[in-house]
Amino acid sequence: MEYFDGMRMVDRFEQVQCFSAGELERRWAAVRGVMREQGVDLLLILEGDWEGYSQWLIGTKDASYIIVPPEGEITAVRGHCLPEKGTSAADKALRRERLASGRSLVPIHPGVRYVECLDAEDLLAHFKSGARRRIGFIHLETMRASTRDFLKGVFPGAEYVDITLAIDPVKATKSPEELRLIRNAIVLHEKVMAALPSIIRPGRTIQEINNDTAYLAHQLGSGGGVCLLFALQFGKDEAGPITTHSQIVDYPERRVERGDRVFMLLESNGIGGHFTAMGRNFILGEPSAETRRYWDLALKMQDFAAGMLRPGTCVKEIFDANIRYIESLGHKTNMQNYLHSLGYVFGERPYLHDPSETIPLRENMVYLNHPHVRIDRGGDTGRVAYDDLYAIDTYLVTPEGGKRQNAVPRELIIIE
Amino acid sequence: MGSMKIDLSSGRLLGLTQAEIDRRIALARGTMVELGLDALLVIDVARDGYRRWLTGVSGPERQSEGGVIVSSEGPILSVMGGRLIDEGDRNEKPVGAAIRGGDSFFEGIRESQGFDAADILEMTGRSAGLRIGVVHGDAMRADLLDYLRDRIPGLEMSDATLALAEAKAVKSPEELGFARRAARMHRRVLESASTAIREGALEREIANDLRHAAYKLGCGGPDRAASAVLKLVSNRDGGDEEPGEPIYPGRRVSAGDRVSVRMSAVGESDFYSALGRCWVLGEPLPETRRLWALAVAAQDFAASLLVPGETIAEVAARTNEFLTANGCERDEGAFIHGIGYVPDESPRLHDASEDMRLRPGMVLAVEPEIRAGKLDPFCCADVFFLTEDGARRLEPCPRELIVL
Repeated sequence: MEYFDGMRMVDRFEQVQCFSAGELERRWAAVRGVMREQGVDLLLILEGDWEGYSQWLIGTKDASYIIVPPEGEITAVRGHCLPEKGTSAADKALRRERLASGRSLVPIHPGVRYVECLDAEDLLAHFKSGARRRIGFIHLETMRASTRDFLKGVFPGAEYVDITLAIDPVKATKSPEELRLIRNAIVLHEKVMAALPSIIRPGRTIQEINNDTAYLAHQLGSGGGVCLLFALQFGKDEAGPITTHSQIVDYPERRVERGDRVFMLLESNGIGGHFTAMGRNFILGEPSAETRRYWDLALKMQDFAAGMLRPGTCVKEIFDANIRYIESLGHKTNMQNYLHSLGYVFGERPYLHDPSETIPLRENMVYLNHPHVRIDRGGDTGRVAYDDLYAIDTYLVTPEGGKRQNAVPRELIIIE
Repeated sequence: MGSMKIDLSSGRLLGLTQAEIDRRIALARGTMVELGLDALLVIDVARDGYRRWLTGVSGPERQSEGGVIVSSEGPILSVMGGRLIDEGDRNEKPVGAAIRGGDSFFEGIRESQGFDAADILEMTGRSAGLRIGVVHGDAMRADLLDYLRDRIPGLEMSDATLALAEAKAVKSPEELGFARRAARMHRRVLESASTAIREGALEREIANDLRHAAYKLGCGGPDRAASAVLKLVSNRDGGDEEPGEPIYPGRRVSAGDRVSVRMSAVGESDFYSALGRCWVLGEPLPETRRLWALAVAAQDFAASLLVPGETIAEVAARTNEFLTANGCERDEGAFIHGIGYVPDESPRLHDASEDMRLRPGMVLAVEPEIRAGKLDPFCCADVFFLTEDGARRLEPCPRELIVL
């Protein structure tokens, strides 16, 4: 645990602020490299909490805008408001936004300055008079009408360009320091997974199982945001499609009983906030031959995808090839986004079914890999959106193919 | 409990009835009539809990996406994504999803994966000259604004944020039941806190224990920090507030500490409540007893002023006079606010809703902070509901300083 010694907590107890000054500077340099490649004079990050851009660049999701100039200080803007300075309305709006966030923007590096709202003078300070103005954006599509009007006043005639897809593979390629945090998260997941046979017991409800699982992960260091720690599927396969986590069911809940399959997802962060994921099926009793058969098929698909997780390949190629592979075995798959990068949120680009799906993979990207094999019931039962079986694991992209990062056996876990 | 459901994605109990959804849609339509509107468009739908209030369920919310559209009759439309739909792509399925669309848990609500101007015109029965009231217009995306202006001839937009917030702020008997049960859940969690707040425990372990207690009692959701919002500060009783964030693994509680806890967690049917108390591990200092008594008195003072016709801005101003008269700093925070589908809804201090006239049926959290010298603040937090005669605490949880 010596890596964490001396690190600052986030919001007293919610998480730990884990990165060295050198790591932050590496990220900034990487982003500025993309800015140069794309020929942009300034980068504005909008809705940066979505997919973790803010967390990665300034260590917090609580910024409405981030301004990255080609050199010098990065500016984190707390609020969305664009008030006229010195008015009572401005004072009130600023106070409201400070209170609404409920959190303080804690200085993490002298290279980041913190301001309350977008300021024309701040933005113009980055340009020489009369200079060409090509402004890069992350999430340009989310720009508010009021922000557009404001920027139009500040930069009349500027060219706007969305460079999100150019930055995505840079962010998704993990540094040695990031891989260390991911390792911590992997170990946390392994510990929780090992404890699950003592939590999943006949007579308990799924909510009790979910609550105890989340409690344990949080005791070990998860937290500070959305963490998916619950049963994705549960019930008896022989009785038809089993219940999925997205359903609304009658209360009080059915209790887990012998013969059930409970598919547990651990997709959470570790100390420092980096995410990873793992999922296994727990069988209360002896699995049926059909369950074993589908599990084997799921592992074959996962292995097939892992073999292609090499630099230069893109996730769309893997997805398309895997469809052909499972169909060659006489089975079908579903359309889930089963290949996505993991970072400060549980799903970051490049990923499937998105414009980023054709971005070539790079060495040291970290990917979730969970292809689905559809359970053949002779037709659509109409009862669940997805009726399938799968394993979930985290892989490191290497020239030799994806390397599974956890040591949990890929077996059906039988609870006697 | 017979008709109760459980949302497996969050683990929360759902007791909301169809009649209550119908009542809310009728309220929204009443607001439209008052403002002379053909439709209401709510964007940034997680803010103030509007998605849940109007549809009974939440969506996978990205702040810049989604919305709810209400016309004067027919089903309302719950927009889940950010697509801007044109004639050619209306039947296009959402990319990568095989999930059936169009079904809602409640009747009278349709779902779509994007905004469709033609659909909005059809809902209102008009072909042009639409008057749309927008809730949270400050968050309107530029592309959505352009899209609507391009495709709806003669579109007029006005701000309906405050008007709808006023309608929503007055709780129905069913909502009051949710609020009361959420308050009771908080009482039970804090009653269990005496086992969590113990010598040698880290603040984060205490926080995790309190959240776990709440989850066992009906709280739910994948983000525990958001579903059970906690302010928890431990300090040497009488010691100065320690600046900055603690060093990993955080502060460990020891004998002689004072521990302040304020929890705002979501309970049955997604209603939040709030409760704040103070524990001392050992005999409290006389000054600690005095300041805690003052925290309770400040809450009582503020609550005594919460009567129909007043505003929370006025009540806060007078409460601040009470604080300064008692030698404390002014509380510049949002210490009086509505509470319901979010921990902090209108009316609230420091925005336009602070001048909303109070009405019977409103539910308000009252949590003034006592700041004296360099001590970390004392705060007695409870939720009140307004009657014709004044404010009543929803759950009579003891307010004594808790000595362990």
